Amino acid sequence: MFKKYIYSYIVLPAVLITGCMSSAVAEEVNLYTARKEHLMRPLIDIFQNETGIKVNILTAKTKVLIKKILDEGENSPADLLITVDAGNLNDAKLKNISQTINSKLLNQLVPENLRDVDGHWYGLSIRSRVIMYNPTAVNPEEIMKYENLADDRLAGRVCIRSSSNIYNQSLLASLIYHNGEEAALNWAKGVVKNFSREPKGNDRGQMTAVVLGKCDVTIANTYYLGKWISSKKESEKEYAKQIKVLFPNQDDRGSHINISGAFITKNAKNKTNAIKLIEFLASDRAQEIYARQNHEYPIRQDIEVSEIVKSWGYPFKMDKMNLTNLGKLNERAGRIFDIAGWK
Amino acid sequence: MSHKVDTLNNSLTLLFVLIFLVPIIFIFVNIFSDSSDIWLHIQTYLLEDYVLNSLIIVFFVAIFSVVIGTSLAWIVSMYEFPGANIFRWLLILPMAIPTYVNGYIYSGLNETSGILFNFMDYYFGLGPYMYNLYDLQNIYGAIFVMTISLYPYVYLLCLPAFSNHSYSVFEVGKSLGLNRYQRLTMIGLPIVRPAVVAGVSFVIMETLAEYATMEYFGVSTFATGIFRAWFVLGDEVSSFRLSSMLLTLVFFLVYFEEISRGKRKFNNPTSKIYERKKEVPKSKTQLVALCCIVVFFGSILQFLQIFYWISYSLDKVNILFILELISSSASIAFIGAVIIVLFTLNIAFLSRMTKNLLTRLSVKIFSLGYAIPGVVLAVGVITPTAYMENVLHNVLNYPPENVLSGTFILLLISYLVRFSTISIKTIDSGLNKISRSYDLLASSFGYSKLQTLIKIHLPILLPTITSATILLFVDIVKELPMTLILRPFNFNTLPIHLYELAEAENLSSIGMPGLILIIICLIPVIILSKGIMKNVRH
Repeated sequence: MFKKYIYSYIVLPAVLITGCMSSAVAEEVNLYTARKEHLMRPLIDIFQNETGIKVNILTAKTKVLIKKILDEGENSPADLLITVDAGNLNDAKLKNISQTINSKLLNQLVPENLRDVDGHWYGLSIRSRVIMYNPTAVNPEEIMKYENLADDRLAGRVCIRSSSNIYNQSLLASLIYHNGEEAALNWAKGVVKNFSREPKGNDRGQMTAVVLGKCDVTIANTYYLGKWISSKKESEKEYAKQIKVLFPNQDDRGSHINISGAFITKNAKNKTNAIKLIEFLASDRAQEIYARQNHEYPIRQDIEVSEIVKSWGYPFKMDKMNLTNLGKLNERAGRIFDIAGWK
Repeated sequence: MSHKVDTLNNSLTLLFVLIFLVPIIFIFVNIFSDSSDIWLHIQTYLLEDYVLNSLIIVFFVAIFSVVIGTSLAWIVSMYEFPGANIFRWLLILPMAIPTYVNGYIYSGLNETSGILFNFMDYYFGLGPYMYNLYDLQNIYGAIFVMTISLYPYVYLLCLPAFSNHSYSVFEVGKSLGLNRYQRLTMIGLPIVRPAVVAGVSFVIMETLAEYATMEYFGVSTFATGIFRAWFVLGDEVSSFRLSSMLLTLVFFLVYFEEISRGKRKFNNPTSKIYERKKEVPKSKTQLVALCCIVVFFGSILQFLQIFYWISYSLDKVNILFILELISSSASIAFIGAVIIVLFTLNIAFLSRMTKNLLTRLSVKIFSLGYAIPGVVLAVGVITPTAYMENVLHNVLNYPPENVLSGTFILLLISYLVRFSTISIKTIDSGLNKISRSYDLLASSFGYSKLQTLIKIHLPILLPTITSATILLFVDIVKELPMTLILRPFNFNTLPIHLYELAEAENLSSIGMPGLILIIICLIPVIILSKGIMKNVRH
């Protein structure tokens, strides 16, 4: 009777629990990623097929994943983290959860300005955060710089997504870097004053708002427009025609760029496999697939970009600031947003 | 042998009480750590928003839920009008739609893939006008969506109170010359008061705990603030401080509900069944219209939008992936539900058999779990676990990998802490209804305690256990914040998929997974409402 008791209360649940845990595989790598699974899937599948290394994926927001790695400490199952934004990548380095990657191949594949000086993280694609506007309502001469978005003449005509979004934090970080903290705060306050609505939704949401007349100008990453142009939906294709891309600050420092990238965790148990995965993602083949599929910019200029990306103007002048600075100034940027009342 | 079982059981109970208390104690102990720079920042720029928004939302959602819930219950149980019996049932339906799904649907209505937008655009060319006409993603929208999702809890609890209790009482009132209004305020409301208090405290807890909707609507509340402090600002102490404030608020509420209920019982003075004679309202159309409006905004509109989304993005639906989501959601919910039921059955049974302080107390403690918001619980679970694992690792240099972090075990433990409430209340009250003379009789036959449980109590309790399991299953199936934070590798559930789609503003893809989740939640709502309706005299 006692045995039966034990069985029903302890053994059965235990069996049920272990039954649904995946069993260990000899060759594997554990990937934490903030990139959407459907973007990663095609590349991961090729990698798995070619190397036989099983990739276990956990998706979540970057901050959540970084915090998780911190909390898990030495025992963290994560081997590498793929995410967007140099700010995030540098944050991991500052929090001491990444390690140096010694790979000659990677140093060869990834240009110097797109990787960490100490080899902690490597960029895997470039994205540009630009101004998009309604050509019937705005004279492009008025918005040649990011700084112009705080101008009084745009009062009630600007919509930009929430400040909790890291793309905005990095953009503000670059403004702090170039113009100083006070100017950045004034800029943020000016933009908040120009808002046509409280920040909500993502970049695509802002672009929709421009097309449908909620506002005239927004800031968005270029690939979102690429998705519209290549969409199967007539309505989105139609929207894409009603909005224009403007690469800001072409006459001075260049447009703000950022990267998606990867780092290997400090306590990675499958470091070799993790390096193999990053190397694969930086290879010509993966770069081509990725750039074409997602309309981002590849890390090397010799790789073809999609026709859509070309149509906006490529190459353009990119801000050459060392991306490590974004990470350093990121927290300041977050606080300035709070002070300026940018939700 | 029986003694051994008792010892084992007592130590198990103690262990679980500890597991239960660790996150809470941890949160409260941490508020005494030094204030960080980040806490000062939160205090200066954000805290006011968290407090004000949370209180404003809770206040209005509570008021509106009570007004809508009680008046609808009053109408459908007191008046005779066309469709009253169908409305009685339809008005419960919003329970099957998780709050965040409601939030996504309502904000999607006038977006470009929204049914309202496309209808106006197609027939009148007024899509852009519709888009700019209103914006629901703010505090008012949050209040609306929470109310429409949660009023059924008040409604459902008031229904039996109005219908059964008191038909005789109302007759007496009528014969004493009270008019309709007086009968409502002087008899009806006092009678449903306990039901309303129970319903509304549930509504308030759910509102305070709501994370996904608030985040999506961009409304800063305690729940989103805790998440932000922990993950975005990376400061545990601040997050614990916010959690402790929220928990204090919630526990105060639980206490208030407890004392307000007191020892009063509102039993029907007579068990005699009266022929139900409903009153004929002055204007039937008004009542029908009122019910129609609530039903339309509570569930019909949602189904229309969901089906529209499905038709809108049918080519993109990945059936295999969705099947995978269903199977992972269902298996974790099933395993969780079974474990929790076994566990609470054990505690409730022990408490009946041994009557020792520990077990009695543990029943009380476990019935508090639901009051802890998921975000708070997840946050309170991560750190002590990691701490314990690191100690284990450093002292014993064993085990090589984490025992709990990022495993299903930790996730299940969190479910256990939060959802035990549901089954312990049901099972405990079920057990209490079984006369003690059965136990005496059993022991006179020489049955052991376990034999008594299996041969006597279990068969009687079976319906209770089944309904507890179903309730648990649904609550786990739609659980979001804890699963989001604590789940292991390669594990996605329907709510997480929906959350990620909404985050990517890919609302049109929500259709299929959203519909499936609603259907899963619909099953228990039907079973539950059947049970309650059975007690409602027609």
